[in-house]
Amino acid sequence: MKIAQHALFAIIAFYAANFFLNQPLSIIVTESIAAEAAQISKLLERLSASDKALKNARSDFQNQQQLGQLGASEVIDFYGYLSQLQKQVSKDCSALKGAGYDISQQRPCDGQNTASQPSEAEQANEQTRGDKVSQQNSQLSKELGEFDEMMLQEQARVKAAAPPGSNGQAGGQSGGGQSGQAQNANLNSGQAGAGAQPQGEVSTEASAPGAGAEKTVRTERFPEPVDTPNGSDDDLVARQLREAAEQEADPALRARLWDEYKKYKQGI
Amino acid sequence: MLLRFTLLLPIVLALLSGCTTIGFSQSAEPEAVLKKPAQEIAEAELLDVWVELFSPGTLPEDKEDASGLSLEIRKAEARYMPVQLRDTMAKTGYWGAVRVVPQGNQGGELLVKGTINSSDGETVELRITALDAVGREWFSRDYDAEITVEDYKKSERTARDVYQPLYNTIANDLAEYRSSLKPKEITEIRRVAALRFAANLAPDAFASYVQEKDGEYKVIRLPSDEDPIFQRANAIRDRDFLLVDTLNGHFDNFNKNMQVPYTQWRKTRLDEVLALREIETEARNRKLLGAAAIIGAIGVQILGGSENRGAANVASGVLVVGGAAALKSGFDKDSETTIHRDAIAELGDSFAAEAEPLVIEVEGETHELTGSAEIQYKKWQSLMKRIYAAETGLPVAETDPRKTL
Repeated sequence: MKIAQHALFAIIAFYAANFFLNQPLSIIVTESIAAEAAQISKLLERLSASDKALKNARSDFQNQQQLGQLGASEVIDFYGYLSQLQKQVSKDCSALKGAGYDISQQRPCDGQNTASQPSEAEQANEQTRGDKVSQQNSQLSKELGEFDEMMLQEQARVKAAAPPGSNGQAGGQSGGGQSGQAQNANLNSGQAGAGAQPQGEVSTEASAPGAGAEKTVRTERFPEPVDTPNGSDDDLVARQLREAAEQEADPALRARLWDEYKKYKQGI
Repeated sequence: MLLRFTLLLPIVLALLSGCTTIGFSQSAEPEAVLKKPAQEIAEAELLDVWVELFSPGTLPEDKEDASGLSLEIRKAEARYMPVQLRDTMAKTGYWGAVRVVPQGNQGGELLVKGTINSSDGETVELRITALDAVGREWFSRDYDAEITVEDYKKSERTARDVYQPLYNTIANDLAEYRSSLKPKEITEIRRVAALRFAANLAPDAFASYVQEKDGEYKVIRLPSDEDPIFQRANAIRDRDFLLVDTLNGHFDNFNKNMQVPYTQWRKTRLDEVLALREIETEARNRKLLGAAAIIGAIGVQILGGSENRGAANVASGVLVVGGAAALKSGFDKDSETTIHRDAIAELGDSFAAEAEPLVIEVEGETHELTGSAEIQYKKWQSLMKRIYAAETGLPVAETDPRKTL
């Protein structure tokens, strides 16, 4: 009977030991896998959300652009937002890859830059784009300056070709406050804006921020050389030359414009 | 009875010579005074005007009316008259910059177009159409004036063009229409003009700012004054003005060169036309007098009666002889008209020969300048597109650079 009891205890002990020895390992393994799966699931969920937001934003942007509801500055803002969302998608893809997930299965990660430092690469791209814009702006300014010079030469030629007894002035006739020179309207205030910026400088300073506020656009002026006539009796061409010279930032070109002005004044 | 015919004769002559008049008068307001605003107009409310080179129109179909006129002269006038109208409008104070532009230009806040229906030194008729940037036609009217010898004399004294009253009338009508516009409408015209230019230059950025429906344009929204793309567009628009200003220098030179020979041609042509008309009238009157005398002679013979046969024979004889002499004299006078007709044709040829090289020269200068500016403009258009793409990172659609809003 005792033997039977011992045998029973032995069996129970064996099963109990077996139970207690095996149980913790199973739990550890299961919990570890579950945590990993949960992390991937969370990342996938985040990727899906970012991708959805990106798609929605793109769709909104296209719709609004088609309907003509976006201004240039709004377009730029929108582009910044799209760029942020794109970065988030890239970041999520990188995190998934880091978690050992095969991201080739995920469409949002197609063609994504999942390198270890994506933001740096993008920053470099942004930098390149900024440089490009700056370079193109300089090109435009240079071409505008060349055009101004060409027109000044042409106006000097017109003056030289003027029949005797006429002043040969070039330019539209002005009846009101504006001269025949170039001018542009300040659309929001309805006020007449600045005159031509002969060197094509497109940067201006506004005295008051905000659309709709009345603004004065100011262009930097450089003083005239000491031996320059005072300009009180300037005609239209002389006035244009004088203004071009006063606003010219390049000292060499400014000196040439003042020379042209003096020559023109002497010729009158 | 003889007395009866003697009284009848002047009446017959008067009836036969009918409506012939020798005097000439101006049908348009001869002393049209240029109207000016009662008070200075704020700069923001001054519209820039582009006066397009006129269309030369067609010459009269009647060979006699077209004598001494030619398309070469018309082409010269089509360049001369817009400059005169420009200067007239600029004096009023109703407008901003007033410029003459070649035909087919876009960008002006108010565009004035003209066609020369007739111009021969004695009469001038122009069709003037005014359109604003919004696409609204202000009016399309015919203006005419008749010029007298006295007007030419006065023109010499005052150094004013003889067609000046006509230009004054046109300028007054334009100013009157402009005065009827509210400041809001003026602002809208200016905005549309600027945005149409910007949209043409950078359609990706600005095409959606202005909407066109049935030829009328409406501002949908406004760009910020700090918008760099809009500032660039404005900088390029300034160059467009600069180009037009330079072209106006050439047009001014053309007018200076044309002024004396053109005025001389118009005056001399009118002198010749009047002399011709006087001779023609005199010749016709003499022929009519002769014809009337002969008719009178027949009448005397028929109605004279037997009791006065002798006197009637004498009277009819005198009338026949006198009538025949008057007829001959009328035909002789007719031959004198040939001299004046030849003079009119010769004056036309001579002035056309003088004006043609001037027209060719100014046309050449215009083509050269606008041609190189057009190439430059297309380069800027492409550069603006690239800047926009680089700035926004957006793909830009390929658009037809010739398309204008």
